[in-house]
Amino acid sequence: MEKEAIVVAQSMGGSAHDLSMIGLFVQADIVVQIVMLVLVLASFWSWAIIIDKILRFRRVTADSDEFENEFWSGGNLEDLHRRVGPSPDNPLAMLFAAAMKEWARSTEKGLGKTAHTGLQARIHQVMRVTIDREVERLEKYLGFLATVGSTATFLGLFGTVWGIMNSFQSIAATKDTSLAVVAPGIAEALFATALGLVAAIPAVVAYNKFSNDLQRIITRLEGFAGEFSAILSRQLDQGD
Amino acid sequence: MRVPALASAVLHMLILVIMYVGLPLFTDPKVFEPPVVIEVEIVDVADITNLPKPVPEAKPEEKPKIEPKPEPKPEPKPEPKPEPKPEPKPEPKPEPKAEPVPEPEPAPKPEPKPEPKPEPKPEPKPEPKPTPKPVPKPVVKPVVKPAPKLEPKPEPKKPTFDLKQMKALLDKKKREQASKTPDDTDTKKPNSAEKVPNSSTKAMDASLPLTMSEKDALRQQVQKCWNPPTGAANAEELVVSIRMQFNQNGTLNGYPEIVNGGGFKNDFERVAAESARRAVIQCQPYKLPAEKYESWRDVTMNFNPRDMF
Repeated sequence: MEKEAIVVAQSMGGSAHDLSMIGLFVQADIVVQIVMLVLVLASFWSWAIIIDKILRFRRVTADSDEFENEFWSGGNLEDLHRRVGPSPDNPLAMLFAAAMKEWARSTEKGLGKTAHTGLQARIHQVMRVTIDREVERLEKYLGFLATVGSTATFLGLFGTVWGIMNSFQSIAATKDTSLAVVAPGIAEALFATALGLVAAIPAVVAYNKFSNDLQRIITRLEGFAGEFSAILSRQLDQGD
Repeated sequence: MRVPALASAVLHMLILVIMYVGLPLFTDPKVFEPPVVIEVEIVDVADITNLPKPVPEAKPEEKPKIEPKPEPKPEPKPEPKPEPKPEPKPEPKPEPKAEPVPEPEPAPKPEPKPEPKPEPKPEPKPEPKPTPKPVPKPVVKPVVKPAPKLEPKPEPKKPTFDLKQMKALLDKKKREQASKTPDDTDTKKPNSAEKVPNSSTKAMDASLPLTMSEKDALRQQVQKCWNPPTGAANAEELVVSIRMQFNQNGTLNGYPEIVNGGGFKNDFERVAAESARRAVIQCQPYKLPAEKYESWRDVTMNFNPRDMF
């Protein structure tokens, strides 16, 4: 009896619980600690992706605007191609360069009349492939955001359930119903859920935003590809 | 990808540092630490008398009552009360100035405010309502409460506790301002505390309005810390007797015994008994008249949940 009471007293006061976030982490169960670590890493990586994507999408949009201005300004396409170079860094220019390269390669030996349809199909194909490649590059890592967004909360919940399980076991062990015995454990456990939410919420928001942006970029690329191939085919017909 | 990763790392480190250093936003949980009160328990269990910690514990609890009392005291009975007022107030103020200057002044202000709030809640049910309100305005009713509080207060204060009291005031202020939990406990305490004096008052009112038996004073102090088991079957019948021995400074001497004439009939009884014992341990040191030490050196107290409901 006495011993029990002493144990209780110590577990109530002895811990002198440090309720700061770091204190909560240090005092947590090992499983909960691992969960927390994983969540922190997930949060770290997803923020890295978010920052990277924000910068990249902004740059892509700005570069594409610039390129489109140049493209529609009515200058010579050959000049533009020379200026843009063989491997530019924005998808629109890339699309343009790929198509122009194919065009140049096909026309350097002169055009047979029969070659028109073949050339058009080839250019179309090349642009298609380029779009796919660019999109793939843009959406790299987005899957990770989606995964974090949907699983981080569950992972945090797991940590919480585990921590609360421990808390209740400690009630059972000390046979003490005082809230002071359970409260620290529950606080630690809930901290895991908090971390899960902290990781998941930005990831979900960012994922939705980025997939919207990506969709817009794809639409733009396809629109440009269509217009450009129309221009090329008009040129082919005029060149006859 | 390296730059964004770096940026993300910096972001997370920043948050970590903020949490560690503690922006005001994140320090709330620390202020939330009434467990300081519980810390004393360890000391007690180990039987090491560590005064500085227990003193702040006990004082913050009593002070809420102390301050309201000084106000009513002058009005109701000028003779005995005027003395305690000048003493406690002047003493704490000069000392605090030397060490914590800003603290003494804010402390008194927050206390009166929080107290009225907790009291109104308990009031709707029992008698407490008349007491808090009358205290500031009339003089007749307040007499009852002041008596128990006066005795314990003057003694501890006079000896050497001034500094500690100020600390306690500060602690109390922090608690009341920052945390809701303390409020809850406060509400409970006045509730139970008032019941005790009231019951005794009815009998003693006419003859001895200003004094209270040592046992009642002790009971009042213990009840502040007691959370009777709730949810147990027939909870109001779980009467527990605890035998405790005190040192002259009001701390427990040894370990409070559960006087039960044998084992417990069921788990509820054991839980109730342990909750009572915890209360006794938690609330020390007690403020009891030192000159009557013999009368409260060895006390057996009944804990009756009925008083609490």
